[in-house]
Amino acid sequence: MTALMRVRELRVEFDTSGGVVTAVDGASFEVAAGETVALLGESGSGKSVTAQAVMGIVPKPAGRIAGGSITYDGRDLLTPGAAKGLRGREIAMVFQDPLSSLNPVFRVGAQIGEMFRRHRGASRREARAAALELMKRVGIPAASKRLDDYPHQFSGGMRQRVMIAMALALSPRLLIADEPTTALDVTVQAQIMDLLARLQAEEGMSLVLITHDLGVVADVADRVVLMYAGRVVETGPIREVYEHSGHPYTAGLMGSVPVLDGARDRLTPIQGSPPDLLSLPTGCSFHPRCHYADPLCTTDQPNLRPLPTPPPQHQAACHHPEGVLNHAP
Amino acid sequence: MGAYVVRRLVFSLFVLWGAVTIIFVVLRLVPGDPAYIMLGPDADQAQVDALRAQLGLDHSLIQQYATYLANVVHLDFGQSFRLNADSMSLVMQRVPATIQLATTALLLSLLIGLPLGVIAALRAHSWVDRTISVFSLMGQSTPSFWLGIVLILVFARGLKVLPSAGSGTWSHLVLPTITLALPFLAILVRLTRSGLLEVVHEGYVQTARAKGLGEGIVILVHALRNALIPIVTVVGLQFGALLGGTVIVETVFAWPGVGRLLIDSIGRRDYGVVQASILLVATIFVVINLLVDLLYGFLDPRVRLAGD
Repeated sequence: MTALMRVRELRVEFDTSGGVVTAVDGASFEVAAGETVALLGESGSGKSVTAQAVMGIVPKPAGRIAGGSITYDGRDLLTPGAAKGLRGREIAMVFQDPLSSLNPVFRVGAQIGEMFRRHRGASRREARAAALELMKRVGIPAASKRLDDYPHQFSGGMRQRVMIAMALALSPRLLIADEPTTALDVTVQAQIMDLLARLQAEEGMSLVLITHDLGVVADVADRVVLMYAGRVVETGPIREVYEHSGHPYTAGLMGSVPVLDGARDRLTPIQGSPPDLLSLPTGCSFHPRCHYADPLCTTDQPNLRPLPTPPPQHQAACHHPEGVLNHAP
Repeated sequence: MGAYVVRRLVFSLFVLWGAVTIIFVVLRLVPGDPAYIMLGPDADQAQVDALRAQLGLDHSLIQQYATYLANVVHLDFGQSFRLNADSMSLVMQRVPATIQLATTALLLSLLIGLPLGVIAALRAHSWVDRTISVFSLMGQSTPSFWLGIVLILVFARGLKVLPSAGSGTWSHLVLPTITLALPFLAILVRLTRSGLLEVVHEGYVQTARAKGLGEGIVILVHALRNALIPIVTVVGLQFGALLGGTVIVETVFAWPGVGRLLIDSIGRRDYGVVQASILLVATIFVVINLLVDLLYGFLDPRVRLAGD
């Protein structure tokens, strides 16, 4: 399977009042054509910043890409010239909060139609017709009446459908969805996930699903890329990662998920708190919270490497994956 | 929307009533009897009394106020003591000159202030931004009468390229316009800069970039349209200050507008003209504020629909 997008040793830094924060610290992963990859991690793990780097929207002037590469279909996304025309057309993004992500002063039909007008030179009438088609496709009821409504007149779920319609306008080959259901009601979350899965199947596009919710991606993702403190700590096929976690952080996350069949009496939280990006622990960033940590973990930063168990695509950045695998719940 | 406009219009009437009342009271509080001032120091008491009776100044204040209000409703401010003509018509003759000056100043401010504010925001914290900020701060703190005199000294007396006073040609308009526009322009720069900086980190600006739109469209369409909403409000309120500024600028440059007429009439206690001028300026101010509120609804659909 050849990679559609390849992120290599990506490093993104932010200037803050407390000093330089490395939000993404050497993250590498790939997305194959037609594949769904879940980018998992808690707040501050660098997953959203990674997406911003791909889209070229790292907040300036505070943030900058300090190293690494992102290639899409063999083209370098970090070179402005080469990336021109890819964003919006080939690579699209859906954001977490659809209310703040839609422009409050423009009609939704115009915001969707803008994709056709600016990128394809479509006339007003053509853009409007295309926007209407998209709104129907993403399941907005009475779409022809709602074309001229403003974002604040829609419910949260409908707004996110508008966002999705806008992202899909030019049939991108890669869609990045940054916590697309976090701001929505639980009942609506499932509808939006179903919609994304259906559209992905129809379009045959790749989907990068960014989330902190292990449950959201369990049914839809093919692969998982798990981030902690700006680094990828574990990656592999979703079943493998969920059932045979090779990193203590992943294992900890699995142990803290409630299950409905009552097999678990208590949830087991991960000890400690997420690290302060301004003063990361030496060695492995997770070592202060880890049961398996030894002196090596406090000095040497582990790199991603295949686990002793197959398949080789399942990799973890841990010095002691054997211990984690043996103690898995 | 219709009900809202009617409500605002009724409220505006109260504002105007307040304005005419305040000016009535203030004019009677300032020392100096108009009859004495008009007749000069040589007049005897009989002449003064006769004129006071003719002007209705011998009635009680309450009576004067009642007559005054009744006349205001008919836009009748009586004859000008000084110019011997109908007060309101005198004021109306001067209106075009003031409107011309205020409009060119407003246009100049918008044409220069908005782009400068956008540039300052896009280059925030750079030397370009600092330079623009320093100039706008200076512009805001420079008093008009001083700036006007300096401009006259430099361009009229020194370089002899522009006339120092009067009206008629476009060259007469240059110095008064700059003088009147500068403080307004400076405020506009600062407002645009801060307004734009507030919205450039909003989600919808990020969305616009993710849509692959050019930076020009991202800023000038998606960001600026939102940044303009608070700016329009302040521009409307500041337009009142601009009208107030015409009083000084017209006096400095001998510009034949309402402001100068007002100053001359105050000096001569020409009550009718003063009252007519104030009512007119207040009316313009109220109308502009109403327009701004309506424009606000046009710019921000959330306001428009909430009003329905």
